[in-house]
Amino acid sequence: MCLPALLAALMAGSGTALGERWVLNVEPVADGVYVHQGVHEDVLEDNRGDIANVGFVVGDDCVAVIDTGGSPEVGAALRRAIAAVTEEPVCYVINTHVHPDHILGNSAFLGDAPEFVGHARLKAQLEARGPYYLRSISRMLGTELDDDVLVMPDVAVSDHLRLNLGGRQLLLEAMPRAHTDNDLVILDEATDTLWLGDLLFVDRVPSLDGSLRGWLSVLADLGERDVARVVPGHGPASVDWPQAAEPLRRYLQTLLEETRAAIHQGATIEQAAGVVGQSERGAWKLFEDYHQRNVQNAYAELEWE
Amino acid sequence: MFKGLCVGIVGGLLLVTQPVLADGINYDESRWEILKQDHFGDRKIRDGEGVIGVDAPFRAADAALVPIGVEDLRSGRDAPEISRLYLFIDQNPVPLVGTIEFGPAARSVDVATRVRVDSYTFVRAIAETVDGELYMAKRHVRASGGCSAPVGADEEEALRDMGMIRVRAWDAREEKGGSRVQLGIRHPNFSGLQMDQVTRLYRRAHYVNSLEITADGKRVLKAELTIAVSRDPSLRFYVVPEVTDRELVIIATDSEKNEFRHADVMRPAPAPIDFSAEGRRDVAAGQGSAP
Repeated sequence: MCLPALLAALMAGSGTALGERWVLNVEPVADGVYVHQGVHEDVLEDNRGDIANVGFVVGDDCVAVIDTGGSPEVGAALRRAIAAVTEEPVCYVINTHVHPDHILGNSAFLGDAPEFVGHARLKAQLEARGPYYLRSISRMLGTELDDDVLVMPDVAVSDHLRLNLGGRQLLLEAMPRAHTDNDLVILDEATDTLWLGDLLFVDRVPSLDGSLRGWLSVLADLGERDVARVVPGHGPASVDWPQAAEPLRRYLQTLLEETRAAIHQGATIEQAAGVVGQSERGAWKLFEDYHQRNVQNAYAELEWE
Repeated sequence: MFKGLCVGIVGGLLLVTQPVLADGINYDESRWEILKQDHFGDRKIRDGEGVIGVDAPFRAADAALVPIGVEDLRSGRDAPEISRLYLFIDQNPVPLVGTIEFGPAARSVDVATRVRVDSYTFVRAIAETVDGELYMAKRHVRASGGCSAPVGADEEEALRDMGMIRVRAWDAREEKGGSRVQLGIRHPNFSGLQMDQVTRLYRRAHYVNSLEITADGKRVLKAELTIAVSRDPSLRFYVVPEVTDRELVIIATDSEKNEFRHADVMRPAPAPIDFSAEGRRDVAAGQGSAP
């Protein structure tokens, strides 16, 4: 954003990048469950990394935050949104997986001294990837992020874990390798609201960073769950289940079948990236930015079948 | 005040040595000057036009898996035979990707592999001809973090299957006048810059460091490789028609002195369907999923 535009945005007090005054718009999707919808863009200077869905669940005693956004500024704006809803302290910060748009806001909650909770493989992944996430996101934001921005989980979920917020419980479940190798889903038992993190993309093209076959299988299992609503990692704040998974399932299934076909018909990995899944082009935002990577990862997985 | 001044000066120096400009291209040639001196001394390096080209994505979709290729551009020209290729990624911690020496069973110096790219950088191919001349082609790639990217959760699986070799061959007489061979070796190819998922220590580098490929007893190529090669090292190359349907032998060794061997008669599948720009429409139509 150029300077005059930034000043205009500041003066108008509109949506983004308002520094100390920025409060995330949150939407109540069920009683005590609030979600902010991120924008369907890459991380840019003027969106400050606010590209993923983040939110929180309010119990009788305290609040659990679920994902914190793509920069400390987004995390701080989420903290202000919580303060506007309740004076209760934040006792848990849960990260659905390692990707920077979901985790780089963690440091904004250090003042609450919460427990940071993630999948059992999250810590190792964050330690390994953190330094280059910081480098590349700093470049995209035009703001230097230092090491303190990386906040490691204190609590590792290797199977199931129940968290008590007072009068309501969250059931956390570690998933096998799917979208990443460290996906966590969270069920708010009081309202039957299931947070899926990036196991569910709606409207925005998915990013495959785990296992294509694993993701399809996890999605099929999750599709059997009888819940009132789910919260996707990208897309509307709340969607119907399992209908909302259909476009993603179709995308992944197309990726699987066409990548397999391309391998068997003699396409190289470069050629496959240009031909596979083109029927999906019109169905997803940011298709051009991520689809080729998905094909390459699918190819590298499936060529060993 | 002084602090500000220092930052300003340091910033200025960085700008001189690391000119990543607004177009996202790192034009820095200083590392290459050192590498060039290291590997080739004062030998003259000519422009590779009409001899070789290097193919790499301008913006890498995945920094840990960047497909790169060298294209033999001599077809129909009177250029001398290329005996050896060097591949470099300027800004990587280990810039040399590898060297490949070609033998009589190689159809051309067309090769492709997948590499890790750590920073915005040039990827370079240097061809050495039998008469001792050097030719260079380069391509810019925007990617970052490929060398420290974790190998992934199925590390156990990667170690269990380590050394499994898979070969696919295609009839490429029309395309290149021989057979196209796609080789894959299951190997985690730890770069030494990745954190162990369990101990959270940096894992010792452990990677495929040499490949020797013969067909019908004649050398196709011999390659020395480094940690720049992606997990499950992949190599695509072409063999002459005379050795098609003969035994292809692959011997790979890794940095822990493991040897992996594969020998089988090549049975090239019929020519791949046309994946070129013109051919794409048919492919898409043929593969299209239900509406």
